[in-house]
Amino acid sequence: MMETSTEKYNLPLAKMSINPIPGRVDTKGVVSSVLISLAMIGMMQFGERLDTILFGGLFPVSGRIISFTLIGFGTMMYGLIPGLIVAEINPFIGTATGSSPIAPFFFITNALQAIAAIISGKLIKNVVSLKFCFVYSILATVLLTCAYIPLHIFYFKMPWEKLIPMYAFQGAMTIFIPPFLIYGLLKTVKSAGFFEE
Amino acid sequence: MASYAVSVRDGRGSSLTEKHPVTIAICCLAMICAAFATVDITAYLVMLGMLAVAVLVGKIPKANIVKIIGLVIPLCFFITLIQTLSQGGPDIASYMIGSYAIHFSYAGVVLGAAITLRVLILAITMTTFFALVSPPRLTRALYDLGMPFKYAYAFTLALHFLPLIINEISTINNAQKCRGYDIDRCNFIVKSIKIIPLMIPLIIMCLRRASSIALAMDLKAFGSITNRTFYLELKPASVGEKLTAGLFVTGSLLFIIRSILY
Repeated sequence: MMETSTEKYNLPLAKMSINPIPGRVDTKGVVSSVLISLAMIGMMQFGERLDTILFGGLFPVSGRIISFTLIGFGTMMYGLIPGLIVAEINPFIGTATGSSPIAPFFFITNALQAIAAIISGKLIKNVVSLKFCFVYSILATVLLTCAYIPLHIFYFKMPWEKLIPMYAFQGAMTIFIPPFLIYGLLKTVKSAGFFEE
Repeated sequence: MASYAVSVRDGRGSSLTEKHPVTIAICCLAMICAAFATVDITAYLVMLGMLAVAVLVGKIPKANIVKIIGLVIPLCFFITLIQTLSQGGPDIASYMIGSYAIHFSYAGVVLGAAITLRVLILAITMTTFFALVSPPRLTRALYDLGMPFKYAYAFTLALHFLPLIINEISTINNAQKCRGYDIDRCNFIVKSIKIIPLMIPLIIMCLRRASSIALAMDLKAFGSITNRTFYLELKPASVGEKLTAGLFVTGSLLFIIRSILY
């Protein structure tokens, strides 16, 4: 007779109900993260188009707002490994379908967002709070800017000192908009009865 | 996107798609490293020629490549413009706007063209890889490399559900239209802001659907047996494949050494 052990999980994980590393790695955690990532891909269709028209996709702003929101949400709900699944499926599909010329770099930048959510969870325990969402956005923006500077210097050979206004604009947008979206999303999901506290 | 999922499911085959995924991955990585190591336009043209052969032999849908080129154009225009305005050296043109002089540098145009080719090589190489290695083969290769099946399968699962989610977005969009919230009539700037009423029902729908899918998978004992068996068997890489991968790696190393020395 086959015996299976079922772990009990509370949601969201970043509230430190269980260890968020590796997070919820049962079938529900994996499947939920896959579907959240697909929702992100669907939403990206709207965001990436705007980024391509404005800056040729070199400085994603609306795409980044969507990715901050949904990768942060996935990581907060299910922990690091499902967060990384949410993060990595988007570049995988993006690269396979050729929807963005810099999609291969999203493997790194999206993973950094999941890591930022985990670090924020360590700093602030209550994940369903605006304070947490702001800490996550600031941390993710800093990490992403640090990742984009080498990309622009070594890959695109761009003069980084001339890109500072762009980084500032991108940073301002990604620090102030996603926290409200994540907070709103978490509140809605909570009131819809998906939290298992 | 949904068409990619359908084409993968239909399984368009060629002689290249039967090669071992790890061999293809090594060749693609070597190509990317070589592209990173140089800004020589001639070298880039040779690499593009090799990719063109791979695209033809691998029977990769031309629409994918055309789509990539279409996406790369605005990006490269933006990069070339910045390079042209910021690089020094002789000018190809200069204009006065009021009292401010704008110089278009020749070196900037050449560098912009090189970066354009570099971006194209990276984008086409990655697309070629995913076109040649179908998700089930990739899952199998990742499993053989030691990744737990549950995570390796996530990519295949994503492709199975992609058309479903795209349909779901369309359904939600139509439902919102019935309520007088028509996102399709907005311009592209407003559209990107107005996606919130689409996002929230979509996420709720996804979480609800995830519960039933996970339950169905658990009832079929998904992931309960550690040593899996597979319908799909990967043939080990032949000597020729190993030799080709070795040649790609050697070529890439030569490019890297050359970039360090000169």
